[in-house]
Amino acid sequence: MRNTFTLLLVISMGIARAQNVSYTGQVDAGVLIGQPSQFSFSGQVFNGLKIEKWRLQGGMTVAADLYELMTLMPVTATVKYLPAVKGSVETVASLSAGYGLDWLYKSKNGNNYSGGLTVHPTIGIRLKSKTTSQVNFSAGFKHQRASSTFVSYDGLGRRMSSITDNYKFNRLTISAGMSF
Amino acid sequence: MKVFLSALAFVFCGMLFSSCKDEMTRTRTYRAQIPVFLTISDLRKQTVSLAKPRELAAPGKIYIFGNYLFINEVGQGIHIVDNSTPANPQFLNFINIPGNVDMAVNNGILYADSYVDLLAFDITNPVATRLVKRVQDVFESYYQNKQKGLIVGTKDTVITEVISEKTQSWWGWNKGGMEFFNSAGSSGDGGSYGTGGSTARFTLMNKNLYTVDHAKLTLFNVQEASNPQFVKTIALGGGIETIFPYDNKLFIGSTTGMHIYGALDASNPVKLATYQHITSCDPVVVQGKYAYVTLRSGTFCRLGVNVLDVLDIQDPTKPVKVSSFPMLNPHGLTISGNKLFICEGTNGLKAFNSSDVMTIGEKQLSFLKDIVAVDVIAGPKSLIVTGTKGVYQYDYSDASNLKLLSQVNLTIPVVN
Repeated sequence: MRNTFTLLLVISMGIARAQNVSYTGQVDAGVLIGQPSQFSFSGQVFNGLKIEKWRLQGGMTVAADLYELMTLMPVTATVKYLPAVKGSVETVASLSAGYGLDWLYKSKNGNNYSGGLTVHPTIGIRLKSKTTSQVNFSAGFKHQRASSTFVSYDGLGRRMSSITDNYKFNRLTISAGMSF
Repeated sequence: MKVFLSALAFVFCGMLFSSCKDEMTRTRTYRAQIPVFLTISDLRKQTVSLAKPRELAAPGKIYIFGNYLFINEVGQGIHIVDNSTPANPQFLNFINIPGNVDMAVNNGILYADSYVDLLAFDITNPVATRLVKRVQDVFESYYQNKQKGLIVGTKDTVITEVISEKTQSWWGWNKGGMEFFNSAGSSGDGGSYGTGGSTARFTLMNKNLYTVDHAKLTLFNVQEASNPQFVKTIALGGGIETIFPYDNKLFIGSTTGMHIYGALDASNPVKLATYQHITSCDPVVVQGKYAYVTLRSGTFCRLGVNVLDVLDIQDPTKPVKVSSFPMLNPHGLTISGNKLFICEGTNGLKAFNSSDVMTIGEKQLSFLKDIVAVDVIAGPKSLIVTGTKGVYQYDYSDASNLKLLSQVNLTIPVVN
């Protein structure tokens, strides 16, 4: 395992050196829209590396999604592809996949919450500015799984019933932000 | 760029038409008492047999006789435990008795109910326990239709339901548990009888077996222990819960009060008095001049309070409350010498010095908080405590420092 890790590290460093890799980051805020009239806020921070030659970016995204029922913190691996440039407008396609953590919202009113798989593809545009930062607009679809469990006990402490709700949040996402 | 814009349009259209609706799948699991209808003829064909020891799952009443401990498995039968060494109780065997809830032991004969019948077992050799008598149709409250011989029992069942919803909003859904309740406990003492707990519905006194259901007192003559004879029933009113014998009197706890019956004429108990209290569950024990009654709120005692009441019963026709102390959620209780033990349900077990009935509540000797305690018997060798998580035995020679001797954990049907 250690040898494999070392090998991957060496290869990555080699590629990075060869392909002129540099750091990149992006901060977005937006909304999660579901039918009918489901509306909640979301924010996310992406940190990663970009390979200019391949027009690729890869890294990790940490988000906070404030669903009506619970707040989840998706931690995802993210790949961004910037296929085309026209003037100062650059197109961006992104795919994030990972796990929504329940760290921000573990329990309330006797319900215990837990997160689950999250997948978030987006497409958008990036507007270049005179500085090193860019303005981003994107739209996408977020699939987030989560669950809540409520357990009731009788007067003698015996576990008598449990209700487990497994949720699949399917939301249109619209966000705006800055990248560096 | 054109390709990209086309992709963008495609994704948006897909989103719009595939509908961004949230989905929810609700899995609800709960324990329920499912009614089971049986014919009494089929029931009596079922073998009342002695089986190998089995694990405790849902213990009910407990009863001590000599070195043996009897533990009811609610609705299924009785565990026979060799308790010669409380630190190492040995489960000898299990008597399969459909519909069994309560028991009492008299001169080596174990009496147990089986739905509408009373059964008598010879337990002089516990490993060769055998049925010696069946008294039929004496607990008629189990009958759904006596003419057709139809009785209704219950089966403890775990039910799982799965509901799938593509939902708009589920904030209004109520998540509430279903609550069910099984009481626990055992029976009376004296002479060659065994010792039961304060929540018993069977008890023995003066060659008679007294049993109560929710509304009646049923008497059996057990002069010849192996041949119990039905004598009669006496209507008591509703809400009857427990019976405790003391000094030729029967103390019968109900949800609305404690009845005192004189039983000098053992086969003809006479009502002496009723001590009224608000609707509450109330096991009772008696020692000397005083009766100790715990009142608690709970599933079936919704108006209840949580207190220990001490009644002066020197004049059994006029019981008088002399003191009252707040408790957390008292269940069974027992008294031994000047030590009073009170089960506090999920809160644990408390021990008090009862030498002065006016100050019992101020003289708490110990409080075990790490157990669930439902009923308790102060046996000759150990303090036996039953609860929903296990059966515990303590050395109670020093009530301020109860020492755990043994613990039998339960295999409770789990609701995931």
